[in-house]
Amino acid sequence: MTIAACYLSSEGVVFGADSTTTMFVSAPVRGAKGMEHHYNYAQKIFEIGDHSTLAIAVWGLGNLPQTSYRTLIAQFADSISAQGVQRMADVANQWNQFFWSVYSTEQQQVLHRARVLHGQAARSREEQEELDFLLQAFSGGFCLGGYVMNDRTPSAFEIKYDPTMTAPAPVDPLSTGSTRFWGCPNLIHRLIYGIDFQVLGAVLESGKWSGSNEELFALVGPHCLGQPHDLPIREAIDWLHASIYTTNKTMKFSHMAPVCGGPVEVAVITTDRPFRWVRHKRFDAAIEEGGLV
Amino acid sequence: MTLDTSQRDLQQQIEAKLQQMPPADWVRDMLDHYRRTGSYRPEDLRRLLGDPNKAVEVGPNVSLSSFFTTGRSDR
Repeated sequence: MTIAACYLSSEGVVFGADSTTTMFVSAPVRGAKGMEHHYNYAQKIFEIGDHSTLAIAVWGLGNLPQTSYRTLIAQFADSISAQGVQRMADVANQWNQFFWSVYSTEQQQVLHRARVLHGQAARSREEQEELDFLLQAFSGGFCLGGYVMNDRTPSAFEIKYDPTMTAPAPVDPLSTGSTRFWGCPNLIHRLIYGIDFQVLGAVLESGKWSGSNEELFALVGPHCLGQPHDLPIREAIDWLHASIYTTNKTMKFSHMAPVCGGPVEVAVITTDRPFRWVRHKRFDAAIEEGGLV
Repeated sequence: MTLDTSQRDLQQQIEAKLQQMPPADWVRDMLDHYRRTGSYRPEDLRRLLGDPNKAVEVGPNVSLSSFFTTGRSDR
């Protein structure tokens, strides 16, 4: 899994992500089971082009079968560079279409099966488990942000996909001063709001809560932490780094497998400069694991 | 922050109660599935860590109740 985040500030856009990618490694012998491995040096934030004012963060599906995100994003950079796109919303929409065309081609069989299962009026338990698996394994999204040179107004857009969709979903703009978390967002949700949707749902559906939804919110609400508006850019960087680091370490010191972890990568695009890495792994980061050279 | 005696007692009672509680069926199933297969079931990941298809938004204009009334932060 991933913990990815984006903060949209009036000074620019901050991207953050962990570095863990989970891959199922099959056993070489037929009938023997494989095992999920958690690799801690994946990259989930990419500059779109070189010396660019655009970047993208990814979560969900690790890669397409034939084309890596790195390659796709580079191809997209070439495409928009040749066109000279004028508006950030156009950049986001074009990426949405660009990705969808490759995703729906390379994952054609998965999409077909997911749509069939999703369209059924009723599903057996096995079918529901299969659909859950397809949604978990083949969904994901992107946060594309930055600015275009003729404008310099920072903006960011959420772009999501899943295998039951028949066409790309509309892109969704972030508002200034807000942060969005994707992938594994429950831990930060609990930290800020004191509860998460699954726990709220479990209470409401338990049959033991006789009050209204609003009464439950009234109980929990005062325990939420308020949030500042439009942080200075370095504070926004600190906030994203801290929240991703917290998620990583919470997973590490929990009873669950470390599905988020590895180095925290952070990048920023300020309105007066192109893309810059704040924290970025060197290419020998995996070799130097543990700090030994 | 220092807890007074009654608060400390209450905390100890809650901790003792939590330790005595058997794990929920889904927790047992999750751990069993992980031991057998080396992977988590999608519904367990969603339940504990969050829905990979939905964002959580944090900001000055987002409130807990707005999640449910507008769906704003649970995208």
